[in-house]
Amino acid sequence: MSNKRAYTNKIIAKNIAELLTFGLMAFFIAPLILVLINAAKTNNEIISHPLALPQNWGILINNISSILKNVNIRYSQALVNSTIITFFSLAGITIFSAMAAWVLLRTKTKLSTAIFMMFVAAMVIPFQVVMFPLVKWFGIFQQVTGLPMLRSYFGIIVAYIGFGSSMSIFMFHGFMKSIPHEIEEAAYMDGCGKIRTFFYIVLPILKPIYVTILILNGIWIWNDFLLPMLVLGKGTPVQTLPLAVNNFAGAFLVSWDLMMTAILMALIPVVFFFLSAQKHIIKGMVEGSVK
Amino acid sequence: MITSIFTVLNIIAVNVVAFALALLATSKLKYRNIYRAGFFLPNVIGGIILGYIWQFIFNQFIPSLAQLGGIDFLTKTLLSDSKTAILAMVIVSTWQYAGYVMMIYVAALQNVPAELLEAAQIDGANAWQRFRAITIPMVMPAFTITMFLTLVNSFKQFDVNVSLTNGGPSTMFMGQAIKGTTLLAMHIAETSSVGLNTAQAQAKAIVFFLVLVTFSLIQVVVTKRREVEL
Repeated sequence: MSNKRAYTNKIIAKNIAELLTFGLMAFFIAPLILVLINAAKTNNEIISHPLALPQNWGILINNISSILKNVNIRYSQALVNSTIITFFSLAGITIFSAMAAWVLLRTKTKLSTAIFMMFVAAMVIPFQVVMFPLVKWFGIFQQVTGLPMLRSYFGIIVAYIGFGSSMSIFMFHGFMKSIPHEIEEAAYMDGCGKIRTFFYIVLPILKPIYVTILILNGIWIWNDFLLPMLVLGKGTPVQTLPLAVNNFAGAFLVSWDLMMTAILMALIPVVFFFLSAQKHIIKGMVEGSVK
Repeated sequence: MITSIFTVLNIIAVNVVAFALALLATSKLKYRNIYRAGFFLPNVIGGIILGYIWQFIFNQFIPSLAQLGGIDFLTKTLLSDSKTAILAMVIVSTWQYAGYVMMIYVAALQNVPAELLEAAQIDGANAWQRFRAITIPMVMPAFTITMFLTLVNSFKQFDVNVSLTNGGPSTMFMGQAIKGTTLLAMHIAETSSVGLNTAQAQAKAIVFFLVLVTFSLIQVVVTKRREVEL
């Protein structure tokens, strides 16, 4: 009898825990839901009924089209810019860091150890310390060589490759240590050159860590605000999404309906990406931090 | 210094919330993977955008809700006073980082060997004793990591600072506007962009770096000492 009661108690406790967790999660995603329902309202409606479901979802379409036309945010341009910058930075970071890590690991000289230690040390320095010299040097570099560094795709991609590579090299380096050297030697015996060995033998083995590094850097670059603000500048032709939202907020802080729509439209790509690959993302981000 | 207050509050809030969530997310719940994803979601959204969402909630949503419900003390926004504005920033940062820190705790909690807990149970330890004597010491290494991460992240907090409060609300003191919630990272950026004094900003950045290194070294040494080797 008492056994049975203990059992039912356990079930009740389990259901309470389940409910509690669900409630907490609802609390966690509630702000995002609020954005969604308030993006489909007029400004007056938001003030009078902030919690109510929108009466007319058509307003959402209206709001979206006015955001798309708005000259302060230039949403579609910013989305394209963010995509271009993230894509090329990621491609650069992963390829160059993988190559660098491989060479640094397989060349056993004092110099290669020193270079590797330098990359590791660079991970510790906060961005704030290097940001002003960076902008200054970019300016000088632009004057001397004529290469567009400030306010251009090229400049910010170079900056991201520089800032992203130290951690990526460190992580690739750690992962490569577990790859047996014999595989590469076998490839070498069969007549593979260095470049072919890297692309056909080493790179495919790196796939799991490659995904982790892509995700870690991708989320950082997509959401970053300070570096684009310094290198691209506010209100210039090339704007990323966070910058665009910031510009828009500066221009229209009171008009919450359009602000909500802008936020919603900035959220959609990230949330969609997260939901489609959440297992990889969570795993990748946690792994990356612990190392 | 406002940053230190923010950092201390933030470390406590993030870790407490994250640990509680981790305990829930590792217990045998039916939909725990969905819960984990839900808690993690704010972390993939950029700080700028999060800040604006919460600015809406604090400035618009809560006041108009309070007005409708007739709750007077909530009609004034949290962001209008610098003391409560700091609190608001802690709330937003906690919301942002708790899911992330939670996952680190989850990984640590899953590594607590089940046979240790079982052995303790057979020896007659109750749930609280098992938790205190086995679980807590076993997740101590994770604690070092999360403390370090939250410390560094709180210190470097910039995006939420810009978009949520923009350093304000400012109070007038001796004819000068003193901003209530400008954290160090934002202060450095402002010295250069508003004050147009890049040299001074750079000097502040170096000091910032040294302070950050000192604090995090102390923290790592202190928490490392509490780890146990199996």
